[in-house]
Amino acid sequence: MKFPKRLTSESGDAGAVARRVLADGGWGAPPPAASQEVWAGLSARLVGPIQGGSGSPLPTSTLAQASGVGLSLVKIGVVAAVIAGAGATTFALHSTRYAPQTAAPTVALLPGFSARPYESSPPAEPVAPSADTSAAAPPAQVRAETRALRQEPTQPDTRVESAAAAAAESDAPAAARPPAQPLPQTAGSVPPNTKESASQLLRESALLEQGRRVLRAGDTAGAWRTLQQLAAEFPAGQLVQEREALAIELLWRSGRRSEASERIRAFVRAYPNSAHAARLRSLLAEPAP
Amino acid sequence: MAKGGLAPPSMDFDSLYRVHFRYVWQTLRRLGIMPSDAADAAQEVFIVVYRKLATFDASCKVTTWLFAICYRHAQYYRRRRPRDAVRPEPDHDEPNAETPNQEELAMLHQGRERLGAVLEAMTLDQRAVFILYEIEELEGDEIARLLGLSRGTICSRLRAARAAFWRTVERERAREHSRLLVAGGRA
Repeated sequence: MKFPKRLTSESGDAGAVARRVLADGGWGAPPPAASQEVWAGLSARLVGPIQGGSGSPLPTSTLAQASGVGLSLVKIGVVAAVIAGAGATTFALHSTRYAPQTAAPTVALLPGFSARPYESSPPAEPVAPSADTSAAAPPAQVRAETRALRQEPTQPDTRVESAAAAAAESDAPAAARPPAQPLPQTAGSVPPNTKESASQLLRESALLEQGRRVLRAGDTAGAWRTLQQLAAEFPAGQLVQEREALAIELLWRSGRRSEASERIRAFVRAYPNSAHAARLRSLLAEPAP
Repeated sequence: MAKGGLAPPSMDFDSLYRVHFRYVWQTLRRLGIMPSDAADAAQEVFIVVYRKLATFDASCKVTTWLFAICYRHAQYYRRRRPRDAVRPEPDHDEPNAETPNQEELAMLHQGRERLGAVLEAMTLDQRAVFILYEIEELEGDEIARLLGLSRGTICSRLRAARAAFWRTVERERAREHSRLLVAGGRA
């Protein structure tokens, strides 16, 4: 059985019509933002098992292409996933923040933020979980793991060393502070302008998203574990604001509002224009339970 | 020569995405995925691509491989979607008398014969063969291998698809002609 001549190869009117219709290369083309939208969805799904899942984690080289659209898609996708629901303003802020050309100011910000709250006031006294919040506090095993996860900064910064040391040397239960406390460790952050950092950013954002999700579902212990995992995997993480905001919200929802309030004020001082700051301020306006 | 190049042996996922996102989207649309579902469908396709990339045979055309994944998704989509959310499969024994929507009318009024209209007149199986043969310009035997069908089945589907193609072209010409007559009468 022989296949016929292709329609576009036909002569006469038939061929002309076929060529005109079939050459409509624009039909069904994606709208301008479709590629970014789909990539954002993929970013959230392809990062791999966040907590003991069965799939294989995304190789660090796979989703991160350092040049061209690849990296920009990673950035856009990650940021979209991280701040889903926070609005276009936040998106613009973060996509600028993590752009390679603006990496230097970001790095300059991190130690400033990390240190400032704890320079202006001594590290908060560790407070043992009170009875009414014990249900939300992590189990003893988790607390022990948290202590083990704490690390000294790889490149100590004099501004943050004391805070880091204070945290590391504390004998109080680690439950007194969510693991977002290792913020000072970001002093040695590397500008996120490499393939590696783009993939790391992807993974970090997925963990944060998971933390938010489980916290929204009322699983404070799950959110706690996710923050611990973030601290372990990303001691010098790039999404410092987001991590701190999640930690504060966790404290707040666990009933430790005094501590949360203190950290909200510190956060707002450091990032007055952040979308997270606006949301955290709104927590302060909530009536006490 | 068929369109779509060979995959470089080391092609990674995000390079593939960057280069072929448009192709995947367009293929899904050509295979009947509604615009509102195309983003989800594209995501599902690239999930499969990601999982199977390691086993991809680099001697094959990337676009052919992608087409096969899109086609499987389109089959699944058609089964999964509520009947009222998917255009009914056309009865290719009868001319498609469906009234064009506003967008189609607007395009018709621009005098543009559209690929979308002709594809909508075909069943999914016909579309697949038609796209691969007439648009992608794959060889018939290659299509038969790709779809796991005999040459006879491919020829049969191609004939039916072409019949649908010409019916649609004639129908749209007739519509355009009557529109021009009406417009002329008003003038």
